[in-house]
Amino acid sequence: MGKKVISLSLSEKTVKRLDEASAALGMSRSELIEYMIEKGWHFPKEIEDTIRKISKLQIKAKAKLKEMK
Amino acid sequence: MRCVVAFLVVTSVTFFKIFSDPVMKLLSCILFFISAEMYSLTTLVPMLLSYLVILRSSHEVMWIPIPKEVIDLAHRMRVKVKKLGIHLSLYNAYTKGSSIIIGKALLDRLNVEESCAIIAHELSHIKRRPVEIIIKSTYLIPISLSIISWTSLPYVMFLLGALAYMVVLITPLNWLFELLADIDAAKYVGKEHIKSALLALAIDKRKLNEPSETHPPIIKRIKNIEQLD
Repeated sequence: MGKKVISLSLSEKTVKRLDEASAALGMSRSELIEYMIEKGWHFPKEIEDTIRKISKLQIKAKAKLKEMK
Repeated sequence: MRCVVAFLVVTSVTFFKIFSDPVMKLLSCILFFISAEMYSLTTLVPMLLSYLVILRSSHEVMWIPIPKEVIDLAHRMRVKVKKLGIHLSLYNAYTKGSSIIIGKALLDRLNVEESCAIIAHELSHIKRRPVEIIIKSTYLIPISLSIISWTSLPYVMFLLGALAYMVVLITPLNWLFELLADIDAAKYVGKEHIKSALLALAIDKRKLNEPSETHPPIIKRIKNIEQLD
């Protein structure tokens, strides 16, 4: 069965706001949700799975960046 | 203190309107200028500043998927919650339409149950909003009509007097809806959780006894919850 490709387009203003919020919080949205999960909040399974995947990717990316330095 | 100052503003405006004797008018004028200055410094400026802070920092809100705990709570309270936002620089929570915004600093300090109690309080405001609007407008229409007779007064006196008058008279209603929201939070999440969440809201413990135009003192709110069966 073929995979469905879903693309989302956000307006420039929305992207700018998201970036500002991320910068202000010092964490991305996924990190914020991860933080809430650690505090004991529960999210729908698919969100928690996605967050775990993003978290793993972030750890890998950070490790690669360290290697490059 | 702030309510007393607002009351003084209203009294001075009323005296200025009632008395035709020049000496009494002058005295009312002096009382008005002193109380109006105090009112501006203690109430209007902080109120405007807090609204400005919220408006200016609206981009600091990060919308997140609604956690299961909040979905369940909203379901039990029969309220539809549209979005949940986390605000960086706010140590409080508020509603915006059917959305709830809670400060990250508050989330840091509270556990899940206490945060849920705060969210239940906000959900109660969303639930009771139509009733709140009807009651407040029914209450304010006759007051606004009585203020019309003040239009002959000097511009500044009319504006500040009317504002102080409205604020003084609307305060008991604001307090009532806050206390009802606390009762709902206690009912749906638990007395202990809303009590500890309210205590955490007061960073400065000296402010536990400090009322505002929108909220009763935290001590009074806690006593109100303790009285519940």
